Amino acid sequence: MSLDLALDEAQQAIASTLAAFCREARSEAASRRGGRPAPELWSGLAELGVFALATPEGEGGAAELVAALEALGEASFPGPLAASFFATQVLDAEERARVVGGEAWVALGVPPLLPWAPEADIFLALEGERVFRARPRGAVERVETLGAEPWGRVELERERELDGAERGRDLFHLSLAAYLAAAGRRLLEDASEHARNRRQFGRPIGDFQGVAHPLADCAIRLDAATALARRAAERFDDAAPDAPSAAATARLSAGRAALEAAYTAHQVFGAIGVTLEGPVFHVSRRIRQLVSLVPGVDDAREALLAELGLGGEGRR
Amino acid sequence: MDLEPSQEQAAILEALERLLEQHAGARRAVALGAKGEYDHELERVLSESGFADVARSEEAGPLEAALVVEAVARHAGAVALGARTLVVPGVQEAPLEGPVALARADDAGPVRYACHARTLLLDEGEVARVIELEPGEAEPVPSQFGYPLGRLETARRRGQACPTGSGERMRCWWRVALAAEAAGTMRAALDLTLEYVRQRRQFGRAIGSFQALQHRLAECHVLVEGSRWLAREAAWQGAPALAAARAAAHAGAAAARVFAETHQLSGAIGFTREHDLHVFSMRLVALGLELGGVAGHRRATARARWLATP
Amino acid sequence: MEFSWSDEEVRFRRELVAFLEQVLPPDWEQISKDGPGGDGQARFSREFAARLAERGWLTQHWPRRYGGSDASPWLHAILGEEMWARGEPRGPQYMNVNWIGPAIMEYGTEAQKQQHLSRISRGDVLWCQGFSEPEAGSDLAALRTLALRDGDDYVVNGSKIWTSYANHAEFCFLLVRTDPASRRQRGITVLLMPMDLPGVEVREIPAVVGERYFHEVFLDGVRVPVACRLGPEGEGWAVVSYALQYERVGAARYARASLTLDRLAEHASQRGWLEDPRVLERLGEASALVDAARILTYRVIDQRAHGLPPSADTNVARVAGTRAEQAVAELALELFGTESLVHGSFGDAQFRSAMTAGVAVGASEVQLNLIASRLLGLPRE
Repeated sequence: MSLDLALDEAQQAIASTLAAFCREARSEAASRRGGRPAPELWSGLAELGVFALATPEGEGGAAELVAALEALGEASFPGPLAASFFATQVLDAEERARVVGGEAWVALGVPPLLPWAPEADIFLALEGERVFRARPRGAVERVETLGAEPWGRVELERERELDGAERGRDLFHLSLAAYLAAAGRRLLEDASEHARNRRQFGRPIGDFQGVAHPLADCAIRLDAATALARRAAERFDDAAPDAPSAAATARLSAGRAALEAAYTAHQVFGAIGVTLEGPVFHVSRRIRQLVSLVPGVDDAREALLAELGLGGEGRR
Repeated sequence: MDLEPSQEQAAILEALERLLEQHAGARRAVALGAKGEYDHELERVLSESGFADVARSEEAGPLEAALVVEAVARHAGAVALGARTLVVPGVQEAPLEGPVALARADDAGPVRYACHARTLLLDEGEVARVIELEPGEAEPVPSQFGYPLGRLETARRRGQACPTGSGERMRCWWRVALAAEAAGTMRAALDLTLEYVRQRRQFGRAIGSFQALQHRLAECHVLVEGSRWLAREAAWQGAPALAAARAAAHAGAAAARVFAETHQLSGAIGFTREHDLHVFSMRLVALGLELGGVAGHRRATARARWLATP
Repeated sequence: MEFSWSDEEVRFRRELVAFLEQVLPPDWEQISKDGPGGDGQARFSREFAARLAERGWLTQHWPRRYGGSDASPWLHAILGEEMWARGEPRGPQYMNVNWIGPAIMEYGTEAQKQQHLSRISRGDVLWCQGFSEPEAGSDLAALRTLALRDGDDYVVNGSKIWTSYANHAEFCFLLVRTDPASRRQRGITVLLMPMDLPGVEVREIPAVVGERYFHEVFLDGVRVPVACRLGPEGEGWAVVSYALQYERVGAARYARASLTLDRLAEHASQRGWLEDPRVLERLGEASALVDAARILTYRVIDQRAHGLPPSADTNVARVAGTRAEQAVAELALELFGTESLVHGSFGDAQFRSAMTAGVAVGASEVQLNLIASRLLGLPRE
């Protein structure tokens, strides 16, 4: 087991390629607008081989995937990323190819409220530890959400159970972890920049410990979350027995760290953070949304407790 | 609603302050604690002056009792005052021979004051049980937590059950007592820390002038004040389940935070025996674990507020 | 020291709740979703505040000669609780009755009192608060809007930002600098400015918490009569400080948080989650924080009832309130899960308001500074 969690050259290349892609394709503006992003954004990712990562057809594993998601998280890239990675672990070759090719959108969750349901081509229904290929029964009732993603209420009819749910869940957790940690870090950097420039009481507000220390605390937690996500990716690629708990740990850690970064950024930016066009809300709402995605934190926590041989009482 | 002390209350508190300055205090607590002794002298003084039984007096009631418990805790008095002045009167008319120790039937852990208590009041769920203790019956347990502790095994099966419903009453008053005691203890810990940071200099200035420290201490102050006032409200109201539980829940959570912050901010010296902080801070740990701890008080709060039965 | 409600207070609360149940329309939640500044709510508030005034309830805590009934601050506090729990049907007028009116009572000329206090106490006027500027947020004393004396007028140039209720307001409690050579607190003056004067332009800033929440107010050569000045020229800081003490605990935000908790518990109960000890613990934790905010606010009301000068206990109450609101918002996130993300849902609204809890009505950091210096005796840097 390697303790060196820095990105290697190949991973750095992926990260910088994606960062450039996001800039050129203006993914952030798409994220601000909300709704389904322009097709070029999604197909662009597919062309770069992102959805093929950690699949038999792809060029890299979870470690490369995490590097990619750090770049995407930093840019607040919209769309069902984690769900797509779950899907590539459980779908058969033919359907997987559609997801990998960027041609099929995945709605993954526990019905009736499903992310991206109005836009989805493939529906995956979760029940406990199991996942089912499903299809809508009746119309999808479109629901707008805080994070500006179109979700939907829909009844699903199960078609068949799929294998690989555990791998799917692990990849789901660790990809969300990498994305959230990076999104939190992005807010932290913006807030720090603001603290350096914004002057009140005759000095930059970052000079005040009441501002600086909470930022520093966030930085520590986000660093830890990023490290945990990278480590979880390594464990996944090694098919290690503790891969599930590593992924769960990373998910829990990143969720908390990112939310804390969101609150701190709002605190540092003050009223600006409350404006729709400001630098904070479109990221903090996305963090808030993703933190709640299913399979959720509770599932992550259960996995971790199971690994430690604890828990089991008071399950919801 | 009138939250200023009345003249009578102010007089009681003023007289109590003078008495505690003479008969209590951190130094005394350390000396007694080193020998594992109970402060019978303090209890006697409180008893003779009427403060120990203020809840049973005509003019005063459980609020005054809670104020007394809070003040005694703030002066590091380690006597079973909460039990005597809040819990026992809340369960029955007649006083019990003191000191009185409080324990739960489903918790086999060490009990505060068990080695010095003459009576054990045991929470058995539906009812409370009154058990006379033999001298030397409890087995002393070494403790760094600022209170003498002991284990009681055989005693638990003896004694006399109080009527149905007494268990719930006991728990509610015990929560109020804990909240009041924690509030006073926290106040002392915080005041010591404030004094320390005001005079301790580093980097050319008092460390108390650093904003990060100021904010953390201010947050502690908010928690301590909230704890103290919720305890008082609950006491005055007669320890109904919700008020008692939320007072204990708030005080317990605050205690954990105040413990951590006061030590963090007092640095190395805060852990030494010469500095008084440990007298108070370690007690916060013990108080936080009693009667099911913060988690238990929180559950009781939610049940009392939203479920028909506690 | 005692914690009872008097018979009068119990009766008042009961009557008030009955009145609210009768008067608030069935779609009140919809009308009030954007907060007190929203169009629907501002419109409703005129009628509603007038009805409250007819019953003598809008400004009962004011002195009789100004349209009150010298009632105890406790009655007004009870009213505030029931109002905030229901999303504030008084709309922006809660500000008038809480601190604008009191500031005018304390510092106003007879003419100003005549002009303004009766309208406020009739529920007949909307005000806004012209404090923050782009360069003067937490550091209000850094404000730059200039008001230069020219005959019987001040000529005002500058801008205000984050101004709630500016679009509907008829008057602005405006902070300006009347001495251009002055710095910081010295040389600040309060003007009671009519919003319909030439040169006043209001522009909405889209905000995450709803419509008509934030505005910019541009002041371009606005001629404000000297008669609109509140208190002595150059001594506005004292007026502002006085007003802010009332503003800090004017809104019983804990009452709203408490209602939110009840809804969360109901939601949990319907799903059988109240069997889960972890859920009970989280609910109990938030409940304790909300009640701590309540009791600490009562401390402040009590000090007012005793005629004591405002103290830093207002800052303590404010911080406690913020922590309670944040805890409830986090709990909504945890309990509602994905349902809390649905736009317009309860959890969605909670998250949005939690983002503002620590920065509205005085940022938490400022509150903590004041607690540290005024109550804890900690030295300034």
